[in-house]
Amino acid sequence: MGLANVPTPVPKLISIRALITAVATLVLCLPAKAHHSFAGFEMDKSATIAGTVKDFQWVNPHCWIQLLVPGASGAPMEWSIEMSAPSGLVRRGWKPKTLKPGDRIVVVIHPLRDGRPGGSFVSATLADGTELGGSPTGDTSPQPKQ
Amino acid sequence: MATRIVQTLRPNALTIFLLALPLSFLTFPMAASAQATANSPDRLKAFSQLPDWTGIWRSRGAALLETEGPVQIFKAGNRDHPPYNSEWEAAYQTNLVRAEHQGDLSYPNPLVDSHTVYCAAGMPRLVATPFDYEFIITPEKTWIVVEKETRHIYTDGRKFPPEDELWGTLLGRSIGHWEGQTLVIETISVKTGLWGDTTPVMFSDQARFTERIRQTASDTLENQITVTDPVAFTKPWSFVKHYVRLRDARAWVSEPETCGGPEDRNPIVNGRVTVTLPGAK
Repeated sequence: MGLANVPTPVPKLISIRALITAVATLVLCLPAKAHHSFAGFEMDKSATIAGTVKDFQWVNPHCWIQLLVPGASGAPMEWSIEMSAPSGLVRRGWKPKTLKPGDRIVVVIHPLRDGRPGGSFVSATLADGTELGGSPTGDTSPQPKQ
Repeated sequence: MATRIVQTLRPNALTIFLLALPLSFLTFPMAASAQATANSPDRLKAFSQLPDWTGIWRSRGAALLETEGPVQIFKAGNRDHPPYNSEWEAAYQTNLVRAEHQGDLSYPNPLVDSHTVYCAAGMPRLVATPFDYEFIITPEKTWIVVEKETRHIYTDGRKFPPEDELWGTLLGRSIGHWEGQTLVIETISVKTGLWGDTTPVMFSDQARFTERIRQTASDTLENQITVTDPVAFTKPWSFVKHYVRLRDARAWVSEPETCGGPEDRNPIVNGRVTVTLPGAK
């Protein structure tokens, strides 16, 4: 599956604010990766997907969001979204239980090159409108709130 | 109970020894405390002249070069890189291509990021990671703790070990000295083949890293870095890194990033970095 086959986002869940945040995040993107290469992801492309959290894996070396996204047939497809390490996400406002199964979220990712349903995390908009960054390849400078 | 035992035992040498034994453990800490060496006035004075860099610091960006703006990872020619001689420049350009294929099962000779291989940044990459930085400063030594990787910088006036006692390591050997409030660090004996950051910027085992770290604002540190490498460079290579202190003075350092455990979904398989998708259909 290539970028062209990325499931169509759910329009009503994507706010203009979220898109502006995503674009700003991409513009500010600097290579800051953690323990492994992100060559497997299309770092110069992005996709926005909306779905329901199946699992939030708060683990080393990298955290993962397992997201159920409606596929072309309407059946949910499970996407794996790779984030950075817990120690880095904490500095960006994340907590181990920020996401719970069943949460509806919108996520911007760099998709996998090989077309499988996965991507590298860029940013997320939670159901309550909270926007969180923490890209493993993004700027990790301290945020103003810290 | 103890009194009863004493009354029923004959006061021979063994019982005296057995009774005295726990007492000796009780009194040992007091004796040791009494013998503790107090800081000399000279050492206290030396401490008072050192800067206070307590707290948690974060690198401004996590690439060696901060001012280059957005870059494409692994793309040749789109970023500044060391002034390599022709041999190392050719290798660098080749490695950029190999690095771009490090997850490609069909590519014959990919180059996997050394951070993935060692699960450690090493030098000089440790000056620019997305992790927490802490500075533990004493007159004789400074520790730069970057979560699980710790740099040991001796400021007690020692010289580097003799050459026959050196071998290439991830962090090399570091000595330093203070020029006023500036910490000057010299590092040698770093293992060759380590990536400088997200690109395969590499150095020979003869590289020497000179850092000058000073506080430029209340919550900002500047690190001026110059690398000399008589094997790989045509001239020295310099760049500047900055670190910003977290405003939350009571922030915790979290568990460091670890790799290779059962929760690591990016194992190296057949020399390629893989991505495990348990949810893939």
